[in-house]
Amino acid sequence: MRPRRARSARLAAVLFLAALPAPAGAAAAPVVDYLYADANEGSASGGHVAIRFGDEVFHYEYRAPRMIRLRRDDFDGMRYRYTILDNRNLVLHRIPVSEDTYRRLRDEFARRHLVQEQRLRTHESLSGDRRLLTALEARLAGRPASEPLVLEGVGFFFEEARAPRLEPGPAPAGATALGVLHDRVEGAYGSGFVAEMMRQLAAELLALAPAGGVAERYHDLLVTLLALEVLRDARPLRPGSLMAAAGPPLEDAELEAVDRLLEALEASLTRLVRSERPDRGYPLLLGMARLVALEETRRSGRWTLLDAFAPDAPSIPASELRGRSMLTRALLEEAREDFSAARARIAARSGAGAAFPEREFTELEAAGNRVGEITVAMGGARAMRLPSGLRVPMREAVLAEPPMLPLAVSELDRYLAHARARELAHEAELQDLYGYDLIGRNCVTEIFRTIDAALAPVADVEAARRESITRLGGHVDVGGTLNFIPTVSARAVRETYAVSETIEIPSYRLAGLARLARSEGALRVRARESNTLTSTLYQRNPADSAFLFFTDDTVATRPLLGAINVVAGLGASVVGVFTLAVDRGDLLRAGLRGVLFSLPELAFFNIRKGSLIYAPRR
Amino acid sequence: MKKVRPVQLLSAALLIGVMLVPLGCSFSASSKSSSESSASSSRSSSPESKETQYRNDVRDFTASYLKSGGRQDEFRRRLGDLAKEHGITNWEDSLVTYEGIGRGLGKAQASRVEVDTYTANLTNGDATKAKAIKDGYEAEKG
Repeated sequence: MRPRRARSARLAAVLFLAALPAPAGAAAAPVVDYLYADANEGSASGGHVAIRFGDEVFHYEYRAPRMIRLRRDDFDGMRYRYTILDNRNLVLHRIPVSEDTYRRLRDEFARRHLVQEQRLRTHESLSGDRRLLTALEARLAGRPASEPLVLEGVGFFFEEARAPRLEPGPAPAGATALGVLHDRVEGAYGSGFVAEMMRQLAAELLALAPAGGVAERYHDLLVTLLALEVLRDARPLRPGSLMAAAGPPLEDAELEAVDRLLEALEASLTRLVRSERPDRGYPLLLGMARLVALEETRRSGRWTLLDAFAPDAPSIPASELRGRSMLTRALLEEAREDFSAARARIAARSGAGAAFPEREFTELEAAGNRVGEITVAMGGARAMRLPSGLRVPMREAVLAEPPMLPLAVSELDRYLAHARARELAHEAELQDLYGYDLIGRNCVTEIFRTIDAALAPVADVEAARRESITRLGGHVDVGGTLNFIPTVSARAVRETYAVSETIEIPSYRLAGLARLARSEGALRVRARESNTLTSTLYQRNPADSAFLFFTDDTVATRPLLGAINVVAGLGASVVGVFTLAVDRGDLLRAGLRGVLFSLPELAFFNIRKGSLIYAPRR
Repeated sequence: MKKVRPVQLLSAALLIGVMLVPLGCSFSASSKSSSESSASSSRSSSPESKETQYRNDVRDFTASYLKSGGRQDEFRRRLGDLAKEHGITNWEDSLVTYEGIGRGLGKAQASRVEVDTYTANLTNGDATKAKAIKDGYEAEKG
């Protein structure tokens, strides 16, 4: 069958998600988008591809060590990462399909994603066994563990995780939120319920057999025991658990909403204490920490939230913020809008008798953390942690001295050897299934293999080809072709499948150029924004190479500008040699990479486009 | 024949190296699961859409788990991981979870006995949760 040439509708103007129809609306015929993000230096320097079903995007990423991992992201998150932060152009080839084809394709990608996630979790569980037994061995030998065990949620109440204390601690002074919760739990399930449950779980912990999966059970029991200890003793939150910045004052209507949230959360935690979930310890700790924060919100009349940043959240120094005041203000404005919207959603979902709206509350925490973080950082007091470091609050604590299992040293050694062998065997299995290969198994090849598998569930190449031609308008081969290269694959999709439309979402800089040209005049904007020294759209990202001229929006002068960029890169490298002791080689590396990524420009190719450390999403 | 100078050789090698770079793909910034970045991800979707996404994820997970087989404890733990990706840690308090489980049972074409077993094990006698599973199951079976 001859390839069908697509009708290409190129939208050159600034095109944001709001204006971009999502595939597969309820009434419209379903469509699948093949996404191509063009090249830039850094991650995916050769471009990247993905497949989109509605809000869901599936794509295969390289993951160390040499593994290809299927990821699922929401489309807006992907657009933000690639077109805004990475400053790349995104091209969508839209392919109309039948309901049945849409379902088959989407289900196969979703299935493979779930199966791989399950295998990776199994591997994490096997690694956990090895880490636990190694830590126990280290404890027996009286030395610190090389990989200390970490317990999530415990850091809200303990500086360091430890074995639970079965004897009650000192009673807290006055009534506290956790004291009230404890009374409610004992009222519901009987006096002494918490202490009795602790005794049972402690006995189970100390009798655990070190078979496969022991680390997960050990971890679950320990976290649950510490959560019950917090509840029994009504332990206070540790300093630093709450956001440093005071939140905005509560509005009148919110006072009642906070009361209802407290009541709903208390009821929810009361049920959770007696749940059969093996992993209830962490949600119990998080819920209790939230209860304390909400109590403080009610007492102070201002929103008080848990700190939701990961300990390794990326951050930029306060000095760097000064050169990005416009962007930072825009970021703050966006965070405030999101926080206001989250407050409205919380108020709407916290009616009398309603369940605790946890998902909405997590969003409130995230937006509130963004507002607080930017506000404090703009004051110049400290570095700003970036929103990419936000998550459901976890506050891990290190378990320095893991409680011992009933094992002799020789037994421990034997179980540890088994655990290591199981982990290695599983790792080999994963490599066999998902090992990365630049040409044979990469982000492109796996998308087309998944499509083939969806269309012809029994591995039959000819059947897959026939089905693909019938359902998608053609078949894209990956073996023996150059289609494993992202940009070539995008062309193959456009020329092979029945593509109804091609949509281009311009990069952050190109969209900005178009916007500025309309208000200030094209020539002036072009001159000012052509280089990194006078550009208002670009502020140097330390992760970028050293360069002077942008070449992504010009073709005729690209070799000339590329030559100047080579010289700029060489110059930066020379200076970098002298600053080696001060910057640990940062400038030298940036200079050398500047030279490297300027070379294609001499031959009319553009890879580097510059990137952003942070930017508002909208 | 004109002699090739070392500088030209070096430039050619560099050029080839750079030309090979475009073959690569995106790489994960870290090995963290998607749950850890969920809180910072897009908030542009409507609340209804997020609820549907969560329900569909529970559906797909349940269907996949049922096919591969496994213990109930394991099911609960993995469901906890999945719910966390959506900002939910106490998933037992959300009826959407149970509707998703019901839909997953329907999608996997579970037998009546399997549906009853899941319902008994997961709802702890809570009639509202049991009804959510039943409704989800019937909706998916159509």
